[in-house]
Amino acid sequence: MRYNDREPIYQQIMSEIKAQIAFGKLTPGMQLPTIKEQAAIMRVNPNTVTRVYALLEQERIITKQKGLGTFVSTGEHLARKLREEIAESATSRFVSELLRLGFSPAEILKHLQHFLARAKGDQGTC
Amino acid sequence: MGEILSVSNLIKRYGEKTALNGVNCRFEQGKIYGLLGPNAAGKTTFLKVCAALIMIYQGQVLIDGVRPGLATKAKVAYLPDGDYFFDWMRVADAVNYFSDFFADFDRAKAEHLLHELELEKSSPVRSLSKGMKARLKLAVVLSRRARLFLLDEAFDGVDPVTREKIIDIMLNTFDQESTMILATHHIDYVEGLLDEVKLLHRGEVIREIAADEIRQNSGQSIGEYYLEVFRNEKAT
Repeated sequence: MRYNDREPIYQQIMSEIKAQIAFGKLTPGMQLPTIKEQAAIMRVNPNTVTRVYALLEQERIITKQKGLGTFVSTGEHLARKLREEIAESATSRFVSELLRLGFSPAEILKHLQHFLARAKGDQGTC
Repeated sequence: MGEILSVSNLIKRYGEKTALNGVNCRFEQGKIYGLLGPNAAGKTTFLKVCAALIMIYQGQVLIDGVRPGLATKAKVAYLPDGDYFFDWMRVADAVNYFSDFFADFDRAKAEHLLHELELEKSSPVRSLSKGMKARLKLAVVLSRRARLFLLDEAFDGVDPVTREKIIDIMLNTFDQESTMILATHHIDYVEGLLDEVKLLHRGEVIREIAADEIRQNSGQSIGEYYLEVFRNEKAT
């Protein structure tokens, strides 16, 4: 996983794991790597992973079962909830950026509609 | 997590020159620290005091509540900047030497690291390239089950592949029982590794901050933060 050095790394890893669950790469009940394994995979400080797992556990996205390991929480709504969160967050970033640059809500909506119409059109020709 | 190393008003002078000018800082168990600063900031001197290689200084240094000395050497692993082995040695001799010296030396791990780092036991140390010597140093030092690892410029003169291998090994060696202090100016290599950063300038700790705090507060990488601090320092 490539991460950028400017945002807290633990947040980036959390986003990554949430995205993996949201889009089915990690499924409910699936076992996660141990903290050490995860740290090696992501090439980050194990303390960072410890923090990530603790926070994800707090949010009930993952569950630690003593002696067995750490697992993605079960519950069909989890993936959907995370997808919503990701969309919300991306939309927020997109809209905030354009508002900051001085675009009006009406202009933003227009640009978005045009973009989506073109994207749909492209899909049709593929 | 307990405190493993505490330093109070550490002063070290060499005649007219002051290498450490009243260093105050604390290190907790189970963390990876970056000791960052320009050349001649005092990083090596600091590590040598902690490693009990410099015994004459002012101030107080305590490792698990004990002054650096024979007792602490048994649980502190020091990777020096520069040559570490005798000319007559082959790789196997270097490993044996360390094994004899340190009770906490893990032979099985050493074998594994030699293999990982592609070091041949029969190779004379003399004939090793700079990068291979760096690998050997790492291998023997990280084979110790030490409480405190003091690594002085572990990445100097090291090629990208070696660097990645070293980082992997560090991550694998590190656990909650130990603490690592990495003195380096290769900040970009260690961005993902460090829990906390201590900036050393002209023999004093001028900043102590968690890596994530740097990123959270100012959206900077550790490297960018370092540049900002030291650019301002030079201006004053």
